[in-house]
Amino acid sequence: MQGYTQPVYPFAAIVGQDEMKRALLLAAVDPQIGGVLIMGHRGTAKSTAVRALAQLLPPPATNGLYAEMTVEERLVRFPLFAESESAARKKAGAPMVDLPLSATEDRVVGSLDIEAALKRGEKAFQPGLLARAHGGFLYIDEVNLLEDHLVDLLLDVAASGVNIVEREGFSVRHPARFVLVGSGNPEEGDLRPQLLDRFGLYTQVETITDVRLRMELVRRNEAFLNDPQAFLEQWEPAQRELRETIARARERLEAVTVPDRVLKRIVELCLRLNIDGHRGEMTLTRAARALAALQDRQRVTAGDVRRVAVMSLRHRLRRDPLEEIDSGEKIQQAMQGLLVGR
Amino acid sequence: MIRPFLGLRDPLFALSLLAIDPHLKGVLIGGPSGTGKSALARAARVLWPEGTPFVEVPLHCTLERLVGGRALFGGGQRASISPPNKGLLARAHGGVLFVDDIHLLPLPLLAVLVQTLSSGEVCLEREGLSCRYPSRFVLVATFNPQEAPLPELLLHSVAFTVQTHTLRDLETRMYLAGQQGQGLIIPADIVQSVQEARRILPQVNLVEKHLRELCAVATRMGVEGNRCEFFAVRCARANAALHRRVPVTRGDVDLAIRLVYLPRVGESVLPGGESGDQPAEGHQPPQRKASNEQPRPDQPAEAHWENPNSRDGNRSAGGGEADGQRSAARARQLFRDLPLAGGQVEIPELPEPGRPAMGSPVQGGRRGGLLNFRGGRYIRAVPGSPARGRVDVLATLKAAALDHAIRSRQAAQGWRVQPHHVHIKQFERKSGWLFLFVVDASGSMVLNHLDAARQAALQLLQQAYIHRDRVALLTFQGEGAKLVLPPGGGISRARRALQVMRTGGRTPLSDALSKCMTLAVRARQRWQVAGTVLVLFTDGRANQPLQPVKGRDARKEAAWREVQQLALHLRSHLDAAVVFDVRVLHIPGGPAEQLARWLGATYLHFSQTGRKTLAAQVAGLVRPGPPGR
Repeated sequence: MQGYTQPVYPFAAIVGQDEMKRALLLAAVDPQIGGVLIMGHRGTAKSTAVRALAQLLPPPATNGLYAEMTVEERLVRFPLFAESESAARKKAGAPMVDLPLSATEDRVVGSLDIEAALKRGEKAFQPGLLARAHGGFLYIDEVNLLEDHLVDLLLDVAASGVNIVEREGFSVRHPARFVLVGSGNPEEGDLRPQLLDRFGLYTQVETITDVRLRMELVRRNEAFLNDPQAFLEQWEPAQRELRETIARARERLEAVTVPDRVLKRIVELCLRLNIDGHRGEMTLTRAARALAALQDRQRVTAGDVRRVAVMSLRHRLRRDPLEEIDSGEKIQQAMQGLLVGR
Repeated sequence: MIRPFLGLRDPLFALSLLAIDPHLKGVLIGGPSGTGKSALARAARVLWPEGTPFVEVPLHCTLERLVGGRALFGGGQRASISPPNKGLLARAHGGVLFVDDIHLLPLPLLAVLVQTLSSGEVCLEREGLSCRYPSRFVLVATFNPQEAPLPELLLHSVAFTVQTHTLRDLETRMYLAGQQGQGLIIPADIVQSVQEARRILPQVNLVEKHLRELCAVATRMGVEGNRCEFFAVRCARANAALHRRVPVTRGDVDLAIRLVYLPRVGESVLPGGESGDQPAEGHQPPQRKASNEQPRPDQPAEAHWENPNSRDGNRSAGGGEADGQRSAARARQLFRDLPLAGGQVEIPELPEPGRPAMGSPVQGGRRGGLLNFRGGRYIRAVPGSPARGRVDVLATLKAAALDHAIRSRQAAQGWRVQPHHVHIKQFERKSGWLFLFVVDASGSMVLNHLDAARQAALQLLQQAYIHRDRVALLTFQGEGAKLVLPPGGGISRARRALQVMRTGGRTPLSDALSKCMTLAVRARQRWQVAGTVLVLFTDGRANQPLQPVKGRDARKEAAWREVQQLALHLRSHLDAAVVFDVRVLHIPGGPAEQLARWLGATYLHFSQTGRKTLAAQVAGLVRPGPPGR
């Protein structure tokens, strides 16, 4: 990726939207939660938050695809990978790869390197965005407006973890495991259920209506626009703290335990909500563990579960189209019911 | 000073503010054709400093031209590849991007445009290219609400959506007539004030009190998103600068509320974008009211804002003779246009619908998307001229290399691309269907199964989304039919619309049918859907004709005659239809069943189907298998 960089609004300075921020932090602590989908009105800092998150991520330990290949594969099959790999290494931070709406299929999956072919007569494979996102995050802004053929392709790869390229005489397979992060406005078009299912957490953002928060938001936006450098410096201590918290939580994560009592609660909740499959309770457990790790605790509590239940389960409920109550409320009610039932 | 621009006052004002502060992002100028909105937008160039990029996006623009890409230099010379071509978005960096008739811009292009507008950069991942360009620009666009509803994603991305009024006063018309050939010229004093305002702007300050008021009003009015208060603050400051004031005054705050918040509230800024003669109903009345309440002597530009003549553009203002005449004229217009609309539409090669309308012969053939050279899923490269579509660089190179290798029996070196090597891309568009849900919400429906109709409509809507069809929802009651969900809107919006649906009043079934026709034709043009499926929930009553008639019985009779005529016309535009009789009492051969016959539709009644399975039955009737895949 060549180009320039523009200043990124710091994560720590985002006003309100606590659920969204929490979801993003959890995904950063444990990528296995399976990504985050942020849906809400325009102008609610969705893409700002995602781009800001990328600034908080520690550099990846194994730098993507290259690390998983044998030497032979590197040299024979992907002569260009070495080049892109060293370029990637120079960049700080984890790969947060943008998948723009205007992307073409060849750039997503990878294809013949035209320049190498024409300039040097080489038939070389130019890896695509899926290869670049391997081991990191793939971000799709306006995910519900992404063209169908790209969605199909993403679903295939996300399900199998392998990208298979059969085109232009290439026959390439490479691992492509990435965390999907998406954002969009649900009123502009719906997400296909298959794609919805690929996201671990679903958070809904709403317009902030608290007048004082709104004022603070305007003030910070103005300050950032007027002097981004000064603003970033002002927020650097808070950012550093967040970065350290995430790094600590990542280390701690494996040690966090889930007591049977809490696990039982998780399963009961999913049963009560009639959630199909096991992805619901697995995500909920992982999210609760990540939250405990973020707060520097060894054990998951019922409180952790309560605080991540809505975002882990909201998109997994069977939808009754005319139901007045929101899925989030339904989950809250089910949790209340469990408490009372004891 | 704005006197000669009476009908264009608001747009010119918004453009001036935008020219002062680019963080206001853009101005959308809406209005009927012939009100000078494009002329104004082009003329407004002078508001920006000389040398500012002013890039126009043509409607036939390809995605490639918009975001950039790679062109192949070839055709007899030595093959080479050009450096990446900057797209129009990147070229507009630091300047103005102008789109005339933005409502006609294809949705994929619009989405990319809006994304770039808010992120300020172009992220290019196309045809072997991978790069980023800065692309911070302001958007100036025009739209015609009579032709198509403006996608909502656009409204919230820019500070201003303003309307032009029909120019009625003699003076303005004379001025414009006198300007003919020269177009519209923005007076030098306005240009000068804007220039000066840009210099003043950094010093303008907005006190805490005003910031609090702007935020509180945003909350009180329920404006969506938190970008609006930011726009409002900027708008107030720009206005202060325009009037050479350093502290922001109460008047500036009021102006920001009027220009930024008001167009954003209500269920839609442009209700009835399809309905023709009332482009800004629901938007203008409160706007006028607000400026009525707060006439500020300290704002010269506001002095002429009140335009009493525009009031009669609002049909709901009263009944009476004028109203009747207008709807009569509209109906005449409609009937005159109908046969033409069918003939004028350029229908692309359509796949066979999964299930043809009842009564027409069953046809075989390929059931897939539309093959085309414009966009969708890439299918294959076919030899062809670059004029017909997008060049497939790889296929072209491959053809040239193979050709060379075969001829010279050597490794491919020094290829030459000949014209006959050029391949262009062929795409398939998963076109899907347009599902047109039409729900009767008139007074008589209260006695019927309105709730069940809602329920069934929503279940069907949900299914349609899963299959990636386009869904539109039209309700009719009182004076006319209303498009509450334009094709392609999200289901949450549909749900909300159905829940808060207004009920009661007369039954304007003919208006609903005529709007269906317009939608069906447009859907084919704009979204290239494979076909249209009508799902009509009605009790078969109609008592509000398009043509005004006196007397209750006469009205009923006229309405029913119109319904018959329209249904027979509409039939040829539909690929399948279901009429769902929601009357509690089932009368065999009743009006709803008759309507179904005219439409060539399947007729269903509650007594024939359990409520639960209803949606499934309707779905099965219209969809034996998903089209286009």
